[in-house]
Amino acid sequence: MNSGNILMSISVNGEYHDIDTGTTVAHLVERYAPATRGISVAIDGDIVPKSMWAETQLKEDCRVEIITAVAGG
Amino acid sequence: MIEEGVDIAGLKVANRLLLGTGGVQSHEVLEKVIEASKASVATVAMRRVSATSKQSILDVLDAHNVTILPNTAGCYSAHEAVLTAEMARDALETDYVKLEVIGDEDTLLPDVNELLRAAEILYDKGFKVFPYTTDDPIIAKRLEQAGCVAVMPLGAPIGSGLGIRNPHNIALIVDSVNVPVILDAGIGTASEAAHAMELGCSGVLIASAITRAQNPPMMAAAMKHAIIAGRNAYLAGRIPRRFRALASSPMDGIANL
Repeated sequence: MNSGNILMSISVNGEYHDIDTGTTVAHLVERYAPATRGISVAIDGDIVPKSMWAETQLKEDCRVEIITAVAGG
Repeated sequence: MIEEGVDIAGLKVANRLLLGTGGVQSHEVLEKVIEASKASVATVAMRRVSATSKQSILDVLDAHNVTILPNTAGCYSAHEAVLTAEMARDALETDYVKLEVIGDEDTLLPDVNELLRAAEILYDKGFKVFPYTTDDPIIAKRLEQAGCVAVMPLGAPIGSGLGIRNPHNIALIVDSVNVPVILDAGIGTASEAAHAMELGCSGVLIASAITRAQNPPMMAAAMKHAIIAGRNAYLAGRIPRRFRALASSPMDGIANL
């Protein structure tokens, strides 16, 4: 928390979180879904392909959805 | 390896059974159901990751060589369904999608306008679409024209276990489309799975009837046998229905007692 960075607020799966500016999608996935496979991420309704996770930085007020497969259907 | 199965656009469906995993109580039960049914395809839904989930259902399905068919359950618009399908493709690396666009939360019946629109968009994006649809033969035809690789009409509302409410419509769909017809939703017990096959369906999708049975693995095995029985009865050709009796014993040579 005491990184000296400016915090920004984002929504992850419907909950608000304060994160460091410059946090990437890859960092976020590591934090919220470290042991889960078969993940897809959308920001503000657009999919962020896995190949872009490391270079995509989150923006203030963005809405992130991280989904995976569960029993259903 | 597949003794009695169907190949739908490369998706090999052993025993003509697509297993719906919805409602299954645990991964242990799911494993027993897969072993009992010998299912080679199972559906999954796409939901937000949960911090509490220990093992992924994908590990269980992979361990049993079950091919994953992601669905768009919970979507109420073409837009939501298309995005969900794209996220499933991104997450699971498959072009197959069981397309569901629901119109109302009480009946969970398909919204066929949104369904058709989503099917057209997904076909253009290279998906192999398995649409969950009503038992309307015209809509089934339109879905086939939109490039769907199968059509999946309902027998009755999802989870209702009411069987096939309009068998004639299912037979009409089988007669009118050239893609495989998979009966989806409504099956409650084994005789209803056999019924679907007797009507000429290429397979059935069963979730609740197995996962919510008192003994899911035993019901899974019952469904497997029912599908084989129904398919063979369809191929064997049933006798016509008659209003009056037709004696099966010979009328000649009856003793005068």
